[in-house]
Amino acid sequence: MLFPTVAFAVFFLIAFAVSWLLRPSYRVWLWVMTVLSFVFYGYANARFVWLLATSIVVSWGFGMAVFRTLAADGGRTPASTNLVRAAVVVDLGLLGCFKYYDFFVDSFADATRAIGLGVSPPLLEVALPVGISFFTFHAISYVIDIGRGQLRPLRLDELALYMSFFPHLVAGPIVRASEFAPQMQAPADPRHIPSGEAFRLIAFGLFKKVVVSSFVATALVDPVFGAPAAYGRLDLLVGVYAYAIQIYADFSGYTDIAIGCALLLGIRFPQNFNAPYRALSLQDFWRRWHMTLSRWLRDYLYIPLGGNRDGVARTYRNLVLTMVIGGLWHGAATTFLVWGAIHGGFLALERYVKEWWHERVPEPALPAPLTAVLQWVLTFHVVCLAWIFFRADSVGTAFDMIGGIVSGTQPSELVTTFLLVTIILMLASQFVPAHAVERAQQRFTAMAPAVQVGVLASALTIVDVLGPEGVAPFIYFRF
Amino acid sequence: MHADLDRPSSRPPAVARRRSQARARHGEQPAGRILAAMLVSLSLAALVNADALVQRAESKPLGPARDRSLAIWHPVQDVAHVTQLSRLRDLGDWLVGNEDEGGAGVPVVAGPTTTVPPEVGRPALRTPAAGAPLRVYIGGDSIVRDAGDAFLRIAGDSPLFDITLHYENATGLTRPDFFDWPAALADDMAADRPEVAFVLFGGNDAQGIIAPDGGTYPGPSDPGWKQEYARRVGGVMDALRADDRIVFWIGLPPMREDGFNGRAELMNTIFRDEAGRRPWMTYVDTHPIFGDESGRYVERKPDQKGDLVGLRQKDGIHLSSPGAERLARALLDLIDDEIQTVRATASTTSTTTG
Repeated sequence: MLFPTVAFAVFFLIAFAVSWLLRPSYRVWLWVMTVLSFVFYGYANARFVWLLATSIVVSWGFGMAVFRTLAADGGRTPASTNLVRAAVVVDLGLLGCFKYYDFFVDSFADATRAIGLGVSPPLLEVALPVGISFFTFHAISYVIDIGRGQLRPLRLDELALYMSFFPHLVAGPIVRASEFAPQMQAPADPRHIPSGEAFRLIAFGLFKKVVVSSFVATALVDPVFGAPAAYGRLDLLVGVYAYAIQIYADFSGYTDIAIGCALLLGIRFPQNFNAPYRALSLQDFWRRWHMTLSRWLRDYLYIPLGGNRDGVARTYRNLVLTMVIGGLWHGAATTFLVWGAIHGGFLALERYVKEWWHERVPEPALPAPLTAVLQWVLTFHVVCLAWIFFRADSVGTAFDMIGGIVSGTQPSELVTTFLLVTIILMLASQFVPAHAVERAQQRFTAMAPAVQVGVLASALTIVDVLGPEGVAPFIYFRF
Repeated sequence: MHADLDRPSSRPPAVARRRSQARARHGEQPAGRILAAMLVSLSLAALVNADALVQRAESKPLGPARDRSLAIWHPVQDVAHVTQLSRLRDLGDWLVGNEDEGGAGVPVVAGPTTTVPPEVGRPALRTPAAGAPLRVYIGGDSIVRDAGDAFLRIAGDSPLFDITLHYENATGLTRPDFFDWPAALADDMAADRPEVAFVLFGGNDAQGIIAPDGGTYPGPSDPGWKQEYARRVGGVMDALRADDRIVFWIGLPPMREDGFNGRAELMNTIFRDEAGRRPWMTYVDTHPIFGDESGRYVERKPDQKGDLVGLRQKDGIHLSSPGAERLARALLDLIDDEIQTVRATASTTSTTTG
């Protein structure tokens, strides 16, 4: 089920009423909300509902087994460590089957052809189950956290709702069991629902996804990335900026709606985006972009790899490795690998240059505002450079884009004033202070009910009027 | 424990009001009030946008889901018209310059079955030159988008070609209420005056169709459907005719899913038959490019070096970049073959007459 549809609006009304009516009966609430979440997942295509159910049952089994093998003081034992490893292998195996099987078979077939054997195992050729990456992340973090003694196992019905809870099910944010379970288990007060914040998130999320993302995609991004050779340097350059806006509007729009819906149901998800395009460094960018994935990669990949504990060289290696693996998580393609390598490489370079600079130039060489502007310009353009590889269908297309930006001669065909204004306004929105947003929320909740209704209906109408026919799937659905 | 959505308070009104104000200061509201606000605002939004919702329901494939949607939204539309709330949406559309697509209703393309004038021959394609590029048009659904983009990549910079690509995702010839290709093609032909046109349709056409007589036909296996679809295909082919234009109708490639492949083959038969009756038309069979020795769907085929290359996207329908490039090169070869044939004919004629 897609968020910006009438079907979801009706579904959510039912889920909202049922959830608050049943919340006092905890077990009944758990079961009903889990069933509703499975209905949400299987609404368009029920083919992979079994996969979600299997992942939940397997994670529950491993969670219980790992907990039983922990030491009396909650410390790790060899058995618990091995069980955690086995759980990770099973989870990643399931993910790998669907996400990387065809890629590996292709590579294997090419390799055997090169040595004259020509073995071609059958391809799986199935569509990637929606949300598999995200529920796999939840499953892995759940078992690892138990293995680390940071979490007690959940009951099967609790785990089922944690992993399948429909607001985060298909594209995050990635919520830890230690964040979700206490909110799920504690009695919730139906008199204190942060509706101002929730409605603001949902309305702006819809606007970003349905209006902004769709507009820049069809007006500029899709044409220029489809045939870079056919367009001039201005079209290509602005096309890259437009893609930066598209992917932000699309993904942050989705998670805003998810967070808003969860808030209305009495569950607060962690923040997933915090004005990422105002970042002044790559490190800062990753503290603001897809924050729950960054946190996941840090805690379950970067730190287990050694983090910054084993010297400078190892730290750089771990940074690059983490980002490359994060890139490959998006799909088995060279373009994603290059995207990860650019981020990892620049994170390492940035760290090195900062240390070098501070050692040699203790006093600021430039006025602070100018330094900030230069840092912002550099960071934004490194992120945009990486986005070129992320969006392009091949590394060759990405280089065509870069080549066209450097040496393209055709006049601009697609860039319009309206497009430029949209991009600039979206960038400017990153600098809106948080207290202004909070004041607007409070004003909304203080409004008379009739005015609130008018505001909400107007917001829905504006999104529908400005949006295109139909709703394109969210970009992150395919990851 | 809170069994009710909005627990009635036994406290004095002033105390209750102060608490309500405090909640508002924190941006909070009780569940009952939120539910009411959502219900009323969604109902209001449905009334204001009723015309758009009906249009969206009408654009769904013919069948029970479409009928159910229309059964829900038509009464809402009636109420919206009585209360004049739909005018607010009209105002919004007018302000942002949205085209009025209302009233498309029944998806029908009327008009008689076209016939080919007996005196029409095959137009002679001229040889392009740097100063006089050949005007090439590529149009159709999202499958032609892949091939068109590849064509632009290969020949976009050439001074010999002036290329126009017009694709519309999720469109075809069965649902002119969703996108009216006959009208769009007429506009495109008038504006661009192409000398070579490549068109590809059918990727979204395996759905119900309504004939001008009101007959509803569920899909390509139905004789009524075939007759009506052939009439539309023939009508488009006739509308594409010009004295200086060769038109290539690109057949659908083999599809991975058996059922869909069968429907695509039925449509290909119609394209081939209709094109065969018109001298300015050429049907392009894509099975040699995308199929195995028997023309069946294959994911990958070897390239010139012998490495296996994926020709199709993950959906088993659209073309990958290498697949699209193969088709684009085949289309360029078709232009070249056509020019060579014209030259050979001219040479034979001049030899005979000279």
